[in-house]
Amino acid sequence: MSEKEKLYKAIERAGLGDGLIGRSHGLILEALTTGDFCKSEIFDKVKGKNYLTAPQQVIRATDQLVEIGAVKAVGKRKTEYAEIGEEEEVYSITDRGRILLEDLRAKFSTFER
Amino acid sequence: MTDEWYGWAGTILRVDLTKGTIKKVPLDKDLAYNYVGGRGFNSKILFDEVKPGTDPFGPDNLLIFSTGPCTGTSIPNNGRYTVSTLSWVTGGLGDANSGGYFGQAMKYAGYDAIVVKGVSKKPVYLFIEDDTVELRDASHLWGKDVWETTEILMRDHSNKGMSVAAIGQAGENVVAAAAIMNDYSRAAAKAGVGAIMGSKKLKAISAYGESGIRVYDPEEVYKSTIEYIELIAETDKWWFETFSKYGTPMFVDQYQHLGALPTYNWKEGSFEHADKLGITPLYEKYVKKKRGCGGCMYHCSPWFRIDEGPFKGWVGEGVEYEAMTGFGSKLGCDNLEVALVGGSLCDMYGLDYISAAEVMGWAWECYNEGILTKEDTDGLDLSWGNDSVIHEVLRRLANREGKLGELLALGSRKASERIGGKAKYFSMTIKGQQMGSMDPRVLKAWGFGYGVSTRGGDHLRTHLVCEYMFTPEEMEKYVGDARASDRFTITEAKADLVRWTENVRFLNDALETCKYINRGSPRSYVEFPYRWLTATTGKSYTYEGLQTIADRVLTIERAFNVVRGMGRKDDYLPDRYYDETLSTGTGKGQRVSRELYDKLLDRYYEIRGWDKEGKPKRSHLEKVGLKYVADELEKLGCLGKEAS
Repeated sequence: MSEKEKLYKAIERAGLGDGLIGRSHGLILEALTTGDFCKSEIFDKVKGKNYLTAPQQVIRATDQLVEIGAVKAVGKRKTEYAEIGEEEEVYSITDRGRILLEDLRAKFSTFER
Repeated sequence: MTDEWYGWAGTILRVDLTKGTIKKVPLDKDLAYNYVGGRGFNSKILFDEVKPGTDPFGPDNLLIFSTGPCTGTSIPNNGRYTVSTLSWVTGGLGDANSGGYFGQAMKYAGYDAIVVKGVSKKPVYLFIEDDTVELRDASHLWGKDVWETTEILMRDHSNKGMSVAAIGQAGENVVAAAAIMNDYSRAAAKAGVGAIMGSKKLKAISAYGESGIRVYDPEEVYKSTIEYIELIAETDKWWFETFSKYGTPMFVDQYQHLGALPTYNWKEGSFEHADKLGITPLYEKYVKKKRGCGGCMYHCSPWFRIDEGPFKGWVGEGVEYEAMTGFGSKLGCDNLEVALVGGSLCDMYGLDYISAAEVMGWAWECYNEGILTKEDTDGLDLSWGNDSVIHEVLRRLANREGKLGELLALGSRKASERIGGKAKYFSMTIKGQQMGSMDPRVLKAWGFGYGVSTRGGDHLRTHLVCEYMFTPEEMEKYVGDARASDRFTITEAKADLVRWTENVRFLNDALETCKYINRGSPRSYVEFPYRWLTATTGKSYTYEGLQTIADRVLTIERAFNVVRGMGRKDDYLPDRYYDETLSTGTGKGQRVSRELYDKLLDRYYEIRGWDKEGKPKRSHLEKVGLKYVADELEKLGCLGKEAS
């Protein structure tokens, strides 16, 4: 099975088909192509785009990307978001994530709305 | 429990305190199948039996306690019940929902609901132990706080397993902020339901039962429960882990980040000393263990002990965000211990944290603006940040003691009407109901939900966390418009979001499941309630069918208010949210546009089937099975205009 097939199988298995992976995930993956970041840092990079106005939306979308193997935790860092924990996980885009990003770029002319 | 019922117990208790009589009435099938339970039962019974012109404190007002068909089963977080009444706080529908074990105890004793009418001449309590149901003298309990009352009843009946729902001094003294407390620290808090119980001289209800609950399809109940827990644990991971770990105190940090933390009586949405009130100091120093309500999969209730200082030795349970912000940021105070003890005092006196803190916030602001003076406060200094008087004010409030106690006992709307002038501006109420603690200026849909709530200003009718937790993609799929994810901007999508959440949240109140079971996962709102209901009752329910039931109940609640003169004018937010822009925090620059809010109201009424004044139309009433309500509204001249 190719990495792409594995990706779409993972999306289906996670119940995230039918448009539930979209622009928000594209924005997060794009941000992670510029470096490894924790969720609060990703939020700072994408806030205001595609109606993303709360850190919890980015937390949720990032967790979905982890679930389908498009991003992975690569370490921990101190955070100001106490409710997340004393340390936040730092994320990196995976090869599968780059495939997904490519597909999302092909699907949407822009991730911003 | 009768043999013909699955899920429901099949019996309602009818208690007449004036006559001292108790009847066991078979549960009506139309009520069960078409209104489900809990709030659905209560709102239908209230509309049918409490007529316009009824005095909230008179014998014809009802106080109804209802469970749901899932109460007492293994469905997750099923330990809740709803109390409803004609509220003297709002002048319309009043209801309150509580957790703990009381709902389960009622159900295990064999009763879906308890409908109380009349007024007793002397204090009584209702004793329920399976088939034994009796009104008993409560003279020895009158004047006692909730914790003492609970201990005495358990001791007198040698039954530590009973659940006690009781009022404290606040209910006895008919205080607007009075709650009905059960299991020591769980509160049916809103709408002054404790004051209505006090006016009826009903001090407590003790419940204990050993009957089981029959479910129609035990295998599907089990399977759907396991699937549900897996869904939340796997797809709502952050919520599942953090809420289980911290409970509602985590919202101090969260709403501070969102700029939604009410500060200085809602002048601001972020507090400069929030770090002193949040989960870091709370969990480092005070919380020793956690507890949960019946059937809970989270155990969100922290149990705390203070080991040193002026409150050394104080223990309490059920530390809540609302107490931490209520006796903290709302009053400009940063003393966590004062807030913790303040919350416990509310539990003992039988006060709703939110309403108590809100009326105090109003008084604090009036005092700081020179509207109230030391003459009005019996010498107490209500300066912002003065935490030394908080516990004393709570005591006076619960006991209606002195000028200040008398004034605050009215609730902030009635108190502000008594004082007049600018005092009214500082009363942060909708339909007279004081609000839960998330600033509408940075959570626009949630704020709109406060406005149109059928029980007055309230965060729980919609409990609209999905405004900041759903991804825009999820919002698009489940609500129909991704724009609803933008918490700062008002578009018509917000009206659709509010209607959707009112409906799915009603199902929590009807099945009597905790609203914290649904959070970030849209599937949890959509796929499970109908499965649980079908598996439990043996009746065939669908998602769409439950939406119609929710539309029916929301509309009958609206009708209850409309025949009492309420309408569009009562659906607006306090002026502060339109007039004052937040100047600090992540919500800096935010306010609510009146013009856009008006457009939202138009859209909301349209999709609810109500006219421009917010009155239900006959066409909609008939569509949701409420022809008799349409006839009643027409007779009273309250029916909505079809062309409007």
